[in-house]
Amino acid sequence: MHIFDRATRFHGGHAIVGGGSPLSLAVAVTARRAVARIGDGGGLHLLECPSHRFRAHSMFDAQFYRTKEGVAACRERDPIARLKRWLERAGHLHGDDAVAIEADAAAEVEDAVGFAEAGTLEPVAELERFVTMDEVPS
Amino acid sequence: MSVALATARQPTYREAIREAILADPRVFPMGEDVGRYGGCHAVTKGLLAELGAERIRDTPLSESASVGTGIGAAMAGLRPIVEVMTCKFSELALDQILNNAATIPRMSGGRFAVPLLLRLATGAGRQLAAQHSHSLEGWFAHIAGLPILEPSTIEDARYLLSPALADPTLC
Repeated sequence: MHIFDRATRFHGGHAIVGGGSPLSLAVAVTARRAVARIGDGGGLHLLECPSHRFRAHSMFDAQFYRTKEGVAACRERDPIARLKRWLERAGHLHGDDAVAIEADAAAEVEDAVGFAEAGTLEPVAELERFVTMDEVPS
Repeated sequence: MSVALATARQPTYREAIREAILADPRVFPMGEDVGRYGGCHAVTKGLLAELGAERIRDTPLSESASVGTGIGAAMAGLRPIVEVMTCKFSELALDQILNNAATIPRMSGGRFAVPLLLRLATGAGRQLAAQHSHSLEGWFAHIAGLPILEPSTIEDARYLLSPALADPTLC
């Protein structure tokens, strides 16, 4: 089920579906049109850009419900990879820009994993901490 | 004494809700029929006309959506009072109640509170028949992180609302 389909039925046709890439021509055109309509007081618009997850749902998910070929085909349409290719072709990515961005992301994940693995088991004394709150954080 | 009791005005839950809304700009009731219809058992009758649709929010017929929206609003700093018409319909929002409202404070290590007040009408009578007459407070009392208040009189309900909204340990 697509969210845009519901929005179309309930909100008078102002929902749009785009392909796998936020940079596809169709999405760019429809987004521009939506922005213009919003500017003219056209109300709520929804831009839905469905993509796929490329990995299993969890480490224990053998993905029997889809084929390897299907996943590979989805990967070909990976919006991030397509964005990267587009940026390179358009001359917006220079030298090691992409490598640096990917290294930053990998380092952030590694930090998070390191933090988790360095953690200690929760003391029993804190078993009930935050089950209810002593104060509402601002 | 008996004369005084007979002439004393009966407190109403409606005045508690109205007071709470007027006292705190973050407080607003939300749910099915709380606005135009005047609320289940008329607890918000007249408030839409007096206070407007920003403060008295009608919702579509979807408990998961209204409770979920209330949880989001509470996490974002508001103090919603979400009304679920009879407690039986709370089952339709159980994922939101159990997995989100009751769990997020603990799951976030105390970074988020969910100061949401969920109002469920419960119990038998009032021609509500078999599927609308449950008393599920016993179930809900078993959910960690979900404090239950069970007023048994109108006075209890009327005077519990304000302290319930003010007390962070009920989040």
